[in-house]
Amino acid sequence: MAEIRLIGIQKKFDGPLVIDDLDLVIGDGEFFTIVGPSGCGKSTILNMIAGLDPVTRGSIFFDDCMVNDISPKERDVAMVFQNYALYPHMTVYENIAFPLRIKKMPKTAIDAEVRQVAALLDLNDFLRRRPRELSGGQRQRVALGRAMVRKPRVFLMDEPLSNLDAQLRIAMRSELKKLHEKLKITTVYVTHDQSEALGISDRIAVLHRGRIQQCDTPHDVYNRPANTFVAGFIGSPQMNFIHGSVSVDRRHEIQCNEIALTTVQDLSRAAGNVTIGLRPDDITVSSVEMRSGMQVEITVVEPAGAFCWVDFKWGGIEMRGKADSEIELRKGVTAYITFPVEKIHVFDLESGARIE
Amino acid sequence: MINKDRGIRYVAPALAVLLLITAYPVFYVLYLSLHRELLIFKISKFIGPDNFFFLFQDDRFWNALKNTVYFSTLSVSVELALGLCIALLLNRSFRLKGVTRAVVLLPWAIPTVVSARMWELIFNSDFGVLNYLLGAHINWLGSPSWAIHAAILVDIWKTTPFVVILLTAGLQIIPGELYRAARTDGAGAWKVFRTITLPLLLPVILVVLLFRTLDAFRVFDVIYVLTGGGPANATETLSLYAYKILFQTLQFGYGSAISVMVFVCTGCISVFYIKLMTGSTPR
Ligand SMILES: Nc1ncnc2c1ncn2[C@@H]1O[C@H](COP(=O)(O)OP(=O)(O)OP(=O)(O)O)[C@@H](O)[C@H]1O
Ligand SMILES: [Mg+2]
Repeated sequence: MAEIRLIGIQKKFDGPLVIDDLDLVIGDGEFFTIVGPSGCGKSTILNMIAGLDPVTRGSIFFDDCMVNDISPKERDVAMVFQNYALYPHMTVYENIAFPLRIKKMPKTAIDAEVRQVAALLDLNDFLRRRPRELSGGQRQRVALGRAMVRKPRVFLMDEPLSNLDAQLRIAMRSELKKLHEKLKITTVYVTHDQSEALGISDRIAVLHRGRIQQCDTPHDVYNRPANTFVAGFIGSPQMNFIHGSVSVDRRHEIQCNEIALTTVQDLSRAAGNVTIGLRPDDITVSSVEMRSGMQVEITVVEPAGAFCWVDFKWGGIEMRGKADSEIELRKGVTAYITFPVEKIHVFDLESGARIE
Repeated sequence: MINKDRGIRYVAPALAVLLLITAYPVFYVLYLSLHRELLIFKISKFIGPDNFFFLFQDDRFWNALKNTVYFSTLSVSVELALGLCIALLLNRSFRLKGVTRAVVLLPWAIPTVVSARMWELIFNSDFGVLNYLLGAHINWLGSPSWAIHAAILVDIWKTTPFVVILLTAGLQIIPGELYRAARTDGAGAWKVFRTITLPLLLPVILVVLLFRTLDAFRVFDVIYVLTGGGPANATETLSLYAYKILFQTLQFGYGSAISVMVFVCTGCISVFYIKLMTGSTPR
């Protein structure tokens, strides 16, 4: 177990900087998730922590020990690779047993460990197969097993659940959580799936173009996104963004679509144009006219089981909200929306930074 | 069934050509090996397996077989070891990689006769470069114990590039991710080589061994140019012996019998390696 500190990390391959001036402290025993769009440098960060790719500049510490020049072997990290990297010439059993064999653990102990992990991952029926005879999801579980069988100082997991079906993914998610609770091994977890990130992590870092946009608890990342990028990336469906303007003399009011929205934020320092963010989750669409409800025109209704997502036009602006599935809503119908004022996010139009 | 019939019809022309150009000479050699054929005396007589009985009592044959086995074993093992080292080095990324690769391949590109002639000069005991560099006066090609090793050295120099090409190709298809995975799993350089590189390269290594052993076992040109089999038959291999019997003394029957023995040996070697190969490829 270890605290990981990345200080002033830069990384470039042949071209431009892939990671630019990254500072990050991952606490001992923390479940830390990195999310971000494809190509933003998530795998690169894991590779640098693992010692597989050298940093271009900066230093990495495990506790108080600088590990820049320490080999992956001595860093004692276990990694689940994004494309599994299973050993094709070994059976599933041998793949999972490999790290233990390298450590020269006694055969009977290896066998016990491997079987335990295989049972956990539901791989018992495949132990004697080779990777090429497995489906993508099965391979991914083997990759996970090869890491879980160890008790390393740090777990690095690069989208370890991306190829599992929805049910299995949720089951594995809680297995990972349980495992982490039991062993309390520092875990750096990479995922595309923001709901996974919100559900599993102690803290989340949102990465974009090699820079950290926000690093916070899931609650704060969701409820107090630091900028429009984070706001748009976290939460599904995506947050609605609308233009608004703030006048100097009204500190709690935004003009938007010929309506004055009252906000809880003090906007006195943000006079001018702003971006308003509203999560579809927070907008209630209804067919009955409500007090303070704004009138909208429905364009698409997308049932999602217990409720529906509703796309609508609010005076020319395309937005999305949520409606009770009991309510009759059809394309072209006029409906009404409401949202709690405290759920309004305000961002600077230029920089995209959050205004509170 | 229909497909099978059609398959045979498709390959029939190729089979016919193969039969004509391979099977015919093979069977003719077999036929000759059962005869006493002395061209100068116009003798041609069926003698059954007598040639082979004589062969087994022929010291020169055993000597040639011993030389051939020694030559093949030593040259092939050194070529494999050396080729593997070079291939592993070339598989890393470094500057001038392309140039280095081309240079490594050079010896393979030179015709054997030319390179053997070149080495003959290098080995020359009076004005050769080798003795000059070593400051020694070794009679490389003239002394029986040195000559076979000189021939082996030339063979290694010439064919290691071939081994390097095949092994490099084999190394390139091993995904780099596997090395990274093994390193994070705690394997050091040697363990990575033992558990990842070597097993994944094994099928290619076996192909290399097959090609190289067969080639080395039939070695002719290097030795023919370098020593002609001498001194005192110390470098005479089976092919060379067969050649001398066939074309220098024109005993076609006996020469063919030697050729048949070469054929039998290479056949056994092939079967052995192919057995290993089918065993080694993962299901
Ligand atoms: N070996 C490499 N050589 C050159 N460029 C690389 C190399 N590895 C990654 N990159 C570049 O670095 C950037 C970040 O790559 P990285 O693999 O870290 O992205 P990622 O966030 O993991 O993306 P994804 O979610 O698609 O896996 C990409 O633009 C990629 O092109
Ligand atoms: Mg990645």
